[in-house]
Amino acid sequence: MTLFNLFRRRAHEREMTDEMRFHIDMEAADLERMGLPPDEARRRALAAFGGVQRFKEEGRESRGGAWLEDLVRDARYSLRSLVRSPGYTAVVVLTLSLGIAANTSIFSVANGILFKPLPYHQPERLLVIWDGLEMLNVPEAWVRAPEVVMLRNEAKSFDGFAVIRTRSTALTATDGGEPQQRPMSFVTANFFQLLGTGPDMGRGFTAGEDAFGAPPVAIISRRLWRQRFGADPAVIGKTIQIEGTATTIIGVLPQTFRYTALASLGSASGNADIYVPFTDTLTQMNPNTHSLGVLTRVRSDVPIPTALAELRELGARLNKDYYRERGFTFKAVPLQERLVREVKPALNVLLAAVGMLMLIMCSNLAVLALVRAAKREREITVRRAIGAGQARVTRQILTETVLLALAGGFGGIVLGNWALKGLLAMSPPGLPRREEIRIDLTVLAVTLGVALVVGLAMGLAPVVRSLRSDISTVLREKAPSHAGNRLRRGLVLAQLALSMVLLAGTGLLLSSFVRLTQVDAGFDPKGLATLEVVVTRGKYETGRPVVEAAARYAEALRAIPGVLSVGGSGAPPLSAGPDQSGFYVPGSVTNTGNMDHDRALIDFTAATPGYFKTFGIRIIEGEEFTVADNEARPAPRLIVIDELLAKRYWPKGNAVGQVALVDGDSTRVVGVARHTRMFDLKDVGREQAWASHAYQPYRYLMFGLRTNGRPEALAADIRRAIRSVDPEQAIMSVATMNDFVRESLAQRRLVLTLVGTFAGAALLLAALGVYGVTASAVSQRTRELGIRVALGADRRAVIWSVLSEPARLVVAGLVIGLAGTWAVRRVVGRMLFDVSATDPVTLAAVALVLLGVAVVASYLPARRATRVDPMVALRAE
Amino acid sequence: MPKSTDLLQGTLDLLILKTLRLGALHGWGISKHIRQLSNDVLQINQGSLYPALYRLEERKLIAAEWGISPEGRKAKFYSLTAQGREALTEERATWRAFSGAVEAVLRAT
Repeated sequence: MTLFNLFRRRAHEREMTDEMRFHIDMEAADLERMGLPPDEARRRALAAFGGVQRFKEEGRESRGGAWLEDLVRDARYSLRSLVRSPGYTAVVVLTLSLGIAANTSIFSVANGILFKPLPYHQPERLLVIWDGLEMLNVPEAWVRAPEVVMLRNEAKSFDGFAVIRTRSTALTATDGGEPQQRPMSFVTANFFQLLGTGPDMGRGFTAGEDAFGAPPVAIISRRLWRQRFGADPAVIGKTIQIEGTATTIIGVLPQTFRYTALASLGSASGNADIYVPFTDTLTQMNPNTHSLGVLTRVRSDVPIPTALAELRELGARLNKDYYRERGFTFKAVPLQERLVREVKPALNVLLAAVGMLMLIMCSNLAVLALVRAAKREREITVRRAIGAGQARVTRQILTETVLLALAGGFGGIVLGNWALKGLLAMSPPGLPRREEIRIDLTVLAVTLGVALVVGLAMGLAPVVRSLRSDISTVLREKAPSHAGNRLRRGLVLAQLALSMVLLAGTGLLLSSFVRLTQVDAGFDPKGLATLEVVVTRGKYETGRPVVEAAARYAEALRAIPGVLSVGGSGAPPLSAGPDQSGFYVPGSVTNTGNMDHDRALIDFTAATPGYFKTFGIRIIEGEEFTVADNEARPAPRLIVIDELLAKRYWPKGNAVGQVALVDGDSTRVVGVARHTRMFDLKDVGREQAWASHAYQPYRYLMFGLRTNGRPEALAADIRRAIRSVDPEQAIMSVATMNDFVRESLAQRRLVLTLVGTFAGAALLLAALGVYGVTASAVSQRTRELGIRVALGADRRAVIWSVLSEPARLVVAGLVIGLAGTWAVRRVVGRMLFDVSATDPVTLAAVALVLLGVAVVASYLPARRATRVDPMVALRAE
Repeated sequence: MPKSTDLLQGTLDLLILKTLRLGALHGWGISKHIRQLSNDVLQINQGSLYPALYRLEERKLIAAEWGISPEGRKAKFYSLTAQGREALTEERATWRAFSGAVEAVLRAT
């Protein structure tokens, strides 16, 4: 009905005009008949009729849908008035577009990663289970095989327990394609059932396919299907060579399927391209090795707390029976929480930062709207004086700001889409749920909401002001009144305080970043080229053949001109790749008889001869593995330990030549090396030991090549060298060690860049705010200042009298900002490294920056005060 | 102000309905009729008349139609609907009760 009225408005308007004209004509004719001259008759008829416009207005309002008509009229009026001040409109829309774009892109990322539920059936019921070994300082360790058996047999609140192991595997060239290295997961047959999703082509695993000796089958990712099989619709039933074993493809996963593999301790390591059944029999695995990832689903008829209580109970029993009351627990972590753990602190910082920037922007726009309202004060007051109600004026002001905000919102979505693409391009490769990040309905709704709130918020200041202003005062004054100054100062104060918080955050992140890049991680990344290989399973039998293949690769790499040395390891620095093993030194002087004290859980991996020299890891005592060690038969069980282990077990410093037990094997220590950071630059990590490759013949190796020249230039030579030994050997990646260092800093660099940009924008806006307040104070006091200058006042005293107000504002802003920094210390605290969230040096430096900018911003207009020509000033009013 | 307008509006509605009882009339005709019958006591403000007419039309108490006036001009004629007739009876009773009450009060004092 209302809309119909709106469409009919024009017709109705015309009818009213006609009716009115008829009435006046008739009245005039009547008066003429009473003997009045025609002119006079018409004049009186018009007078009797009263205000034509008012009549129309009331005629309109007596009809339904007046509010909608008002809205359309307000909008049209606002548009006209905005077009008349293109500068204001452009500044506001542009500012808003940028702000909303920042907001939209950051929120899209947070939404995709943190807020959106995982694309599985009842994802909140999916739990990842870890062994909680707090007593060994490992809160989340892989689960032991007997524990999985126990859970499967006894836990009643769950739909089952799936076992997952992920590693990289080689697709060999015998199926016609390039040899490739792809991430592969070994999963039990119930894995896809527990997730509640599975292949959309072909089928999932059936019970029995994960039994030992079952014919090899595989499910592949959409990506592999496209890249390796050219999206062949008849791929089901074809074979793929996996590490030299012909494997039948039984299913292809949908594009949307995600299961980010997790490293115990390390970061999420991306999606697997191949899923094969986990065929190891749990009861035949080493019962003491923590090696299994476990996924479970809480039964739909069991409340989650009940299920968790059952897990606690089973854990308590294990703690008594196996762990001798040392404090073992089962750790159950919701899958989603575990997936996003590494990025959550960063996203929280970004959300907080963009939120603050948004607030600053809002208050800045509110100041602009206030200034605009001051210029239009007379117009608004006149409208009120001739009868426009306060509600009507308020609506008019808000219509204008909301209209601006919506335009900004639209621009924000367009810009935000680009910003999001840039953001994703800059983001670290390990970003979880990357495919789910996009501008969707949720994001659009939030953006629209933000735009509306901003529009209303920026309109609020002029509305409040118009409520206060007194009609007669305004009409009597010639110049715009100065009411609203206090409001404006309050807004600028808020900008200063928020800018201070953002700047402090930037300062803290920056000093963390600088400290991180200066960390002594125990190795030297400069001049180090790297490549990763997995010695093919089907071609080289486990054991000696793998060691010999690796030795031949090393030899060929060493022969590349310009290469000084070559060495490889199963878990080089920053790889997050080491295994965890038990370490024990029988008869150490430090032993107390308490196993938790005497036995260490260490990061353990293998190293080939030349590894330490090549990666720049200094050998402190003894020596590293030699080629002779590698070739001796039977292979001696040799290890190199790091300085932390040496200090712990041999505090007197005679570790070399001593015997240590690694997972129960008796080994001999040949050297003590510097401790290296294997997971992340920021974490020292656990104690470490390396086995000689001949003793632990790992198939996965990362080789390093030390060169005097540019390591990037070696890529082609590296490929050629490996091919010359075995043309079917897959090469996973050729890179440089500096790439890994950069990658491990990527997330921080991104967060720092973004927060820094936000802080810069905030500082600029706050400076503009200070500038504006000072400038308008000067212009309002032109007369007074002119008189003082004319009377011979000291220049400096005049400047001071102008500056005292912005100075008070800035100091108050700094104090409030510092308090704010303290209030948000937890948000930023989790992103900091080696610096406290209330680090006085950083905060002082940041305060100085803000102070400096504020001084410049207020001094510039203040200086004008002394240049006021007394004559001009006196004539000004 | 608004209060007295409300009172007047109710009265004006009644006067309009009563006038239209006699037959269809245009706005000017209605105002002239009321003025004449009240011996120029009730001068209807045009600014009130037309909004009142639109309101009554909206409430379906009167219907409007474009026609030709006796002077040969196009004019909008208003006429009473069945609903309007009922309303008139009601309003009239209400008004009588109201004016009788006011009269009684005035006499008593």
